[in-house]
Amino acid sequence: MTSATLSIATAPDRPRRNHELADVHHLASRMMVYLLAFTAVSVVGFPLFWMVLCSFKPGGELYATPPSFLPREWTLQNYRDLFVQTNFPTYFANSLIVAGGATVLSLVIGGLGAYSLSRFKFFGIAAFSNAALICYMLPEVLIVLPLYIYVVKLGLADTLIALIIANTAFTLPLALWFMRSYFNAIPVSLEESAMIDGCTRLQAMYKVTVPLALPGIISVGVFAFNHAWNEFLFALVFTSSERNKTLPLGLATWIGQDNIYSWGMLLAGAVLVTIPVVLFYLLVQRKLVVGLSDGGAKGE
Amino acid sequence: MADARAAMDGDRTLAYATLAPSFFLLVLLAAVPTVTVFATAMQDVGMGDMSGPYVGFENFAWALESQAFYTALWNTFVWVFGSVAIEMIFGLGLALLLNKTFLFRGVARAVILAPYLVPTVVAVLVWRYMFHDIVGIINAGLITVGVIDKPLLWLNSQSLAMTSVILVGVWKFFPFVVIALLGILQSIPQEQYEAAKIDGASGFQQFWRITLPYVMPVFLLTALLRTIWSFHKFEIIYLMTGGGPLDATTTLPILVYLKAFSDFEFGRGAAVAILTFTILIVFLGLYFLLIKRAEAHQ
Amino acid sequence: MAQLEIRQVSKVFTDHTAVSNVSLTVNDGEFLVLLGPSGCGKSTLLRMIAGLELPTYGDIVIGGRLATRLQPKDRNIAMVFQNYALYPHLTVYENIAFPLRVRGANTKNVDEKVRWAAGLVGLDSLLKRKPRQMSGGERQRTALARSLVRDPDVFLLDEPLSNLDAKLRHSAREELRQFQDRVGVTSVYVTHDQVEAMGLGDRIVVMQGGTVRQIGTPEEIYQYPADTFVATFMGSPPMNLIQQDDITLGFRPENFLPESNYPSGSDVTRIAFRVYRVEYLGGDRLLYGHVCGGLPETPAIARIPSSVSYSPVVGSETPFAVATADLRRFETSSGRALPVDGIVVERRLAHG
Repeated sequence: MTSATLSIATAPDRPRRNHELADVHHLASRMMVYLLAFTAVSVVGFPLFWMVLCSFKPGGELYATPPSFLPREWTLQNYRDLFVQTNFPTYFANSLIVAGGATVLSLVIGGLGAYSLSRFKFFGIAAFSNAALICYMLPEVLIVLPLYIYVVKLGLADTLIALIIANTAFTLPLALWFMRSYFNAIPVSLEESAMIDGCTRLQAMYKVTVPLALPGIISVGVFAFNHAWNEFLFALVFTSSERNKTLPLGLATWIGQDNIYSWGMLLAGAVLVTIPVVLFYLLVQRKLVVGLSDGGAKGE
Repeated sequence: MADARAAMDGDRTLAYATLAPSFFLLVLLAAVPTVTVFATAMQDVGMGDMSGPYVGFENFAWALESQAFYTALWNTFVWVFGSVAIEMIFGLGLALLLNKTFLFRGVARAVILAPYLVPTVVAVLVWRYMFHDIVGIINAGLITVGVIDKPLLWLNSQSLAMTSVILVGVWKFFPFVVIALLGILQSIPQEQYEAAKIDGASGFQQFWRITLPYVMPVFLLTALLRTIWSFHKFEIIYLMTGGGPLDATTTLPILVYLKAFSDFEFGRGAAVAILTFTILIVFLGLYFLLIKRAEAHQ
Repeated sequence: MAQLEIRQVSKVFTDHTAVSNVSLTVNDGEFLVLLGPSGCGKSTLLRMIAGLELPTYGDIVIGGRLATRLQPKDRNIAMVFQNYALYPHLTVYENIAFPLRVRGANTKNVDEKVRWAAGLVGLDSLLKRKPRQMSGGERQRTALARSLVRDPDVFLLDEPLSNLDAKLRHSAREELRQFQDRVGVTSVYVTHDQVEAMGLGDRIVVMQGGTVRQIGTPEEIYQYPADTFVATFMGSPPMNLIQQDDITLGFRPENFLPESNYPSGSDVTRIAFRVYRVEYLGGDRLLYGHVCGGLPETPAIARIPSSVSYSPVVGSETPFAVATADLRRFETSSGRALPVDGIVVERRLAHG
């Protein structure tokens, strides 16, 4: 056997290797793929690339015509100005409070509700699930009018609490739907087993079901955080004072005053607003992968 | 054997207690407002105590007779169908591209999905800087290449504003289409293509006879979902142009906002909001119909 | 350890009755198998014993204590689920320790017990693994260790071998039985596999359509089936049934041999058989054909050991015979067994 293999390997008329790239059609289609991918990435990615680049340009360069491509002089001045001259830190803190509060509320309230929808069977369950989905489809502009009236009447106008609650209402339907499907994916027998092993139903839920649904719960949390972090309309309508503005509202006010604030500071602010979102995305992406591989071992 | 859910049937109290907070929050913050917005639309509400004399359908009558409403309706349709059509075409194209294997595909995918993650206010800010008539890179680039010889007023001319806003909307939201379609593309069994190749189908025939029919249900659903969302999209247009110049980009949601919070005519704002929602219900109905059909299909 | 009593238990779901008026007693230390096709109510019965379902009627008594309305955690039972229900986020060690931890046992005690239970099933070296890093057999042993770590009164097993491949299933069955002999705990085992039931059970309860068809030792059930359902459900290939007016005759394929095979003068019943296909299985041959002659033409199977020298002729009518002692008679209308040789087959009816 061995000698036979050897003789083939050393044979003078050893067959020529067939390279895939030697095929003209194949080569052409590969080049096409790379060309298209490169074009798409450049066009789609350019605005964000430009944003980061320009946030490091000194004031003069930002207003140069024609604009310079790479900064001739890299500077952190825009970022420094942002913190010294503006309320950016206040906005940032407000956004953290609003997004954090809405996330916690969505997860706790939505988590309990989703558990109920997933594990129990009772009258009206299908109707409730569908109604929740419709709530998610309601236009914000329809809801914002009556909510504004409530908020004013309850004396909650211009408070962060009003924003937290309104944001929760909008993320809750999706939290319910997603977490229900995560809970559905966890076999009931695990909880039954825990109950036979000595847990009450609530203990079984937080000792077994919640840890297993954690990847899903985290991604719902990130979604809720993102939504509240980006939310603009409620903030615009509910908030009037400078000290209660969230980041999107704060930045938007500056855009309105085009020539008063410098583009540099605005772009620096935009970069900083984007960073938490990107961090969260990276976090979820890894968690999601873990969640998927856990799913493979489901029920075993 | 009984359904797995029936197993936990015993504890009704817990079932209701855990669902109650969600239920009340949704009723209070979605269902009740949807109803009370009708009450507001029937009143001549101004600032102050947020209620006013009952005027019946006067606010609706005003809306249906005013030029502003029809302009906004037309603008909404241009905005919705313009952006959704382009998003779907580009979304499908890029999903097909990302479905191929190539070096740095992960990087390409991350970059292409990035606009969807970026906060709207950031997207607006960057694009407004790029659209700027004097310092913007777009005008500078086009002049350098020689397409135009003097700067265009991208956001400040009545003829270009809507195009510019649609462009930004497409850039921000087409990744959603890519994500949705990439998911379904990756689930097409490879054997189908192998069988088609052996049967003599060309690349285009494979796309036309296998890929397209396979993704069509998801494609339609995604298009409808994007239509619904674009229909009541507010902040991207508001932040780009504020509905202007004049009323060139005033869509229905913008009109609602301007009526209520700029002219302080809550009743009229509410009436426009309800009319907007009525149109939306048609799309929503279609969406749920499609979902039901897709579920029945499985 | 305890005796388990099921008293006139029924379970009615909104759309169907899963268990209908079942009574039985599992003796202390006994290994009882609930056997039946899927949907016969055996799993529902087990879940009622576990406390995962409330019986619609009737009571469950564990160790002399009325347990009908007790929470699962208060019954001191253990259960091995079909999918083992191992907690995927916990290591083997923590899985086994779980029942002790939720009962608030102290750490030293937990460690001792976990190691004892793991040793019992030979898992000592795998304690740090997560469930998904283990083979099917190892998972099963983990589930066993977890269920036995706290000396349960009753041990419930819901088709624990059905997730294993055929080869592993055999050795796992062997291990399981040895293990039960060693621990001696009262056990209720649910399965749809009659081979498993025969191999494992001290007694077997055959269920169908929510009712008990027969209770008995494996031998009793195989030799003296209480009705035609049990007769055809047990044994592979099943008992041959030949309907002759009011009486249905039944005989096992292995008792159906060429007449020439019996010593002359023995008490046999002759039955003519026309073979149309022979299946060679190594140790045996299966002969498929029709009984004929004086009897109504009915498909039947004969199982002839390869050691018996006989060459079947396909298509021709051959004299076959069954020892009269091996012949069973059933009432055609009800399917019930008729008394044989003075042995009255115990048959539990729904209202028995």
